[in-house]
Amino acid sequence: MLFSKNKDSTPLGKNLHHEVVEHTQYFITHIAILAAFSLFLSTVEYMIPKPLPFMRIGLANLPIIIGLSIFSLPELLLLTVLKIVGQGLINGTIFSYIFLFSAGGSLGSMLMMYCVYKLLGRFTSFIGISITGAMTSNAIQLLLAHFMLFGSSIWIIAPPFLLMGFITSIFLGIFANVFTRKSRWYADITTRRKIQENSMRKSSGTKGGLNSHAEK
Amino acid sequence: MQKSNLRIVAGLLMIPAFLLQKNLIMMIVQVAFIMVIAVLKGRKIKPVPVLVVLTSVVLMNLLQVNGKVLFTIGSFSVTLGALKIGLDKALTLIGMLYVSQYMVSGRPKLPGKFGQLLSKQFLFFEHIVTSWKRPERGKFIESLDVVLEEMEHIYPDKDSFKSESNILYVKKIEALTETFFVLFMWAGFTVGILDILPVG
Repeated sequence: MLFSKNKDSTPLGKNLHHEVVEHTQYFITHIAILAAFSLFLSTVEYMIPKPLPFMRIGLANLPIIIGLSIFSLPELLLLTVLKIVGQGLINGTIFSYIFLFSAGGSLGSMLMMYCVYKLLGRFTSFIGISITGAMTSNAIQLLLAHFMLFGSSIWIIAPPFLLMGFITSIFLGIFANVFTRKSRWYADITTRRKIQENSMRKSSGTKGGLNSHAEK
Repeated sequence: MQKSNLRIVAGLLMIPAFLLQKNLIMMIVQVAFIMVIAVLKGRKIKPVPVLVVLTSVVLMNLLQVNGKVLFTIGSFSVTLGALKIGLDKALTLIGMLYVSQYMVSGRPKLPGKFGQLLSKQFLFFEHIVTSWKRPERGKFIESLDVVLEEMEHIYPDKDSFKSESNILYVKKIEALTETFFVLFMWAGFTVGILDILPVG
């Protein structure tokens, strides 16, 4: 869907096609930028000492939280897949069980955060969305660990695991709130998204709402 | 075959020989061998996370009583079945991690548009790592903005994705070495299933 081409050959169609291609290129570049930022944050997280190696702070999820108010669902999926594959390649875990944990947690939390953002976006800030994402990711990872590693003894590590995810996700959510309020880069990209949505609306005559956080 | 893909193929051929292994002793041998070849290919081994994974997975599995009681510590019984399951799971996790490390040590390139996007992501990542400076107090978001905005002006050379000169092909000696690695893993698997070892 992201790489598809409009084959309308009329002058209006060509213009629209050109505009769509330009916007698509722009957003794909920004997806790659946020995916790279996610890799950088996962490297930072790697350097922070943790009591257990599978404990995660979830810093690398920050670009996905920010991306919720910028990208569409297919674009968010692409960002998440790039994050997962990029991390797997850099850490060398792409063919290991750890990759399965990362993929399950990241995809599940992204989908859950997207649902909460779309359905309850007006009533909740990035803090609530971040907590939802962290709890989903942790629940999926605990479930995988239950079946693959620890068996029923998983309940012993579940409370500190969930508590740590809860606390760090609050800080991530606060940072996402501050970043979306203060960042020039974020303001530019959301303005560009508004322009794209307006031009699409004009050309198709359809109605579509902007993301609530982008409007704020 | 491209050099970057050789280890992916070799690794994929090794994985069944490792995952289907039932003999614990041969499994330890295979894990040690995988770690050695990962180090030979330039990856680093961090002993502390390996030991933490090994002990935590084994200890968690020991909580479930299974099979013959080996010994007791107070009211806690250490059982043979639980110990074997714990070791099997921990060794599988560690072994797969290092197989993965070995497979990506050739810097594999993914094909198609997704592969190009991934290359772009790594180009941007390299830029962040090299240009990121410790931000001034209270100016973290401004510093982040600078780095993010700089990346918008990086245009990867389109031809570099296609250039044939960047592609290195496999030499005979490299192909023979990787074949030896795969054969060693399958030999370990064969010894394991033949049940000729006194323990396991």
